[in-house]
Amino acid sequence: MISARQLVRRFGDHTAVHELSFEAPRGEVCVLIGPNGAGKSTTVKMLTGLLAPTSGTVIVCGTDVNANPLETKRKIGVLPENLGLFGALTVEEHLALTGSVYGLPRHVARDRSDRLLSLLDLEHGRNTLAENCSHGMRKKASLAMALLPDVQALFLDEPFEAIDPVTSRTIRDLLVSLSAQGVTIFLTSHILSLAEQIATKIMLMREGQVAWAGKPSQLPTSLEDLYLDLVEAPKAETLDWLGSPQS
Amino acid sequence: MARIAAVLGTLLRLSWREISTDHSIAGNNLLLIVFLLGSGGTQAIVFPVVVLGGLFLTAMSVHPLSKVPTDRLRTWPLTAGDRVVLQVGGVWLNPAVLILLPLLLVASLRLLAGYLLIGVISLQLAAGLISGRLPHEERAGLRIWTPSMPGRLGELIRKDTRQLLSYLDVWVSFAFCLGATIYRFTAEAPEPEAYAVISSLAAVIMGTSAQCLFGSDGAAGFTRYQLLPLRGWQVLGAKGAAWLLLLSLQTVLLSPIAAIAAGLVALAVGHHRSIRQPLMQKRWRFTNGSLLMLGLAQTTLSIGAGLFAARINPVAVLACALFYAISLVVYGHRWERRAT
Repeated sequence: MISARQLVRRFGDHTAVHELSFEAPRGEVCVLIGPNGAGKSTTVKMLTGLLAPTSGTVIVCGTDVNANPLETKRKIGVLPENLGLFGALTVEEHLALTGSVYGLPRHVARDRSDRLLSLLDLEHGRNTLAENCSHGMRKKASLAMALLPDVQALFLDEPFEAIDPVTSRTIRDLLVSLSAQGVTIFLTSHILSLAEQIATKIMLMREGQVAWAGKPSQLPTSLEDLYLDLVEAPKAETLDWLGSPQS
Repeated sequence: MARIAAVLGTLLRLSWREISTDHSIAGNNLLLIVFLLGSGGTQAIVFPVVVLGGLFLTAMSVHPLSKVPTDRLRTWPLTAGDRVVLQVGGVWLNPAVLILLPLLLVASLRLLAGYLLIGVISLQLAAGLISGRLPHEERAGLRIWTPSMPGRLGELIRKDTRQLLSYLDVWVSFAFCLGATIYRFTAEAPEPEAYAVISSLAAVIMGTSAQCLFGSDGAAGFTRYQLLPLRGWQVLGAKGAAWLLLLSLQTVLLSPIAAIAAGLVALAVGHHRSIRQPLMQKRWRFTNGSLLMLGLAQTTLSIGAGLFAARINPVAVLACALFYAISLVVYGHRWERRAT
């Protein structure tokens, strides 16, 4: 369903992603984990056609992303890093836009919008302009846009960041059920516990390369320990000016 | 005192940055029109210069404190007295005031500058009072009502219409056409020949906004366009439809044929800069485009096409439509290449 072969992306002298290859069959929930700047968002952009790779190929739902971008776009839902919202449209207008562009009948789009807004606890913000929404509301609106059309694969860049715990749980359960329905899901996250719960495949990324990849059952230790061991260790620093009496 | 001085210093820096970076009027077709009118005598440009200057100063008449995020302002350790001093002192650091104050030193402009200064300060105080009474959501950004549009691209056209309505050029064009429409129905012997000229000029006034069709979308909007399963010509076509819709509304009682012909040409020429050099535009400011090359081309070609279609042969609209369609396909293809 998603197949990446020897993906490389360079920005000048800097290699953001180096020879990334992986396969995610139908119904897979593939979670990409790594620190900021590891190349996660660059990977999502290359998988969704937002960024052309320097070399390598991506096949999504049987279509070469770079050779047939339009056909690919019809089959995938994306939550991009910058959320891809227009400040001048309300949340509801964004969903109406998605429905009409993907060719859904108006009543179907409206029904799905209502269900998604209710599911994501976004009904109160349906008439709010995107530019006036909080970050969490904008993230939910962008996620709802990804879920509205009939798509076969979802690409979600940090879907749980800035989301309240209850909605996080809702999204987690939703992704698990979508996976059971055959939707392939590729997501990035910093929340290791969530990744461990929903992933059928985990990839740890460090400096543009995959440091470890496998099923959760193949983890040699806890995901957190493996992450700290392979990707990065925490830094210790004392800010001694804090807590001292003011002069 | 040091706290207040630090905040006032920051406000002064913000205002100065706004003045020094806002060159929009210098790259706007309106400047060409003022030059055109100026060739008929100095008297002819007084009215448009006052209108443009008034609009520009009004748009800049926002209290500089509004640029500081409200929550940030609230978390700073300032007393009630400090806040009053900032409110009163900030009024004098407004970009419009900074532009007008030096004019007080010029004897011949002293009276005009004085009146404008009073206007700008009153505007800031009134805006502060009104804004304090508005609910938070409305204060954050007053929404421009636009109707829902039919069709697959309807919501995009609605969004593009709303974005266009946040540029001053469009409102100048509206005011210009409204004046002409009132003249048509109230003058004892209106001059019908003028309608085609005015309709074509309306297309030129809006022409700079046709050079920056992606000016309000930002990086996030560009990403969304990349993700939507649309061809480049459809993306550009939705923007063109919104632009033509606004132009048609203004000129419907003047000379719609001239407006459509001139508008199609202005859009076709404007695609070049919209795709090759997309620039972000500020809301409630004049749009900033290329004046000497594209602005001049838009002005001459649009006025020529508009007058030809209205006075000689209306079939010229079809030729303009063909020119627009070719531009749409060529630059739509370029947009697709740029989008990946």
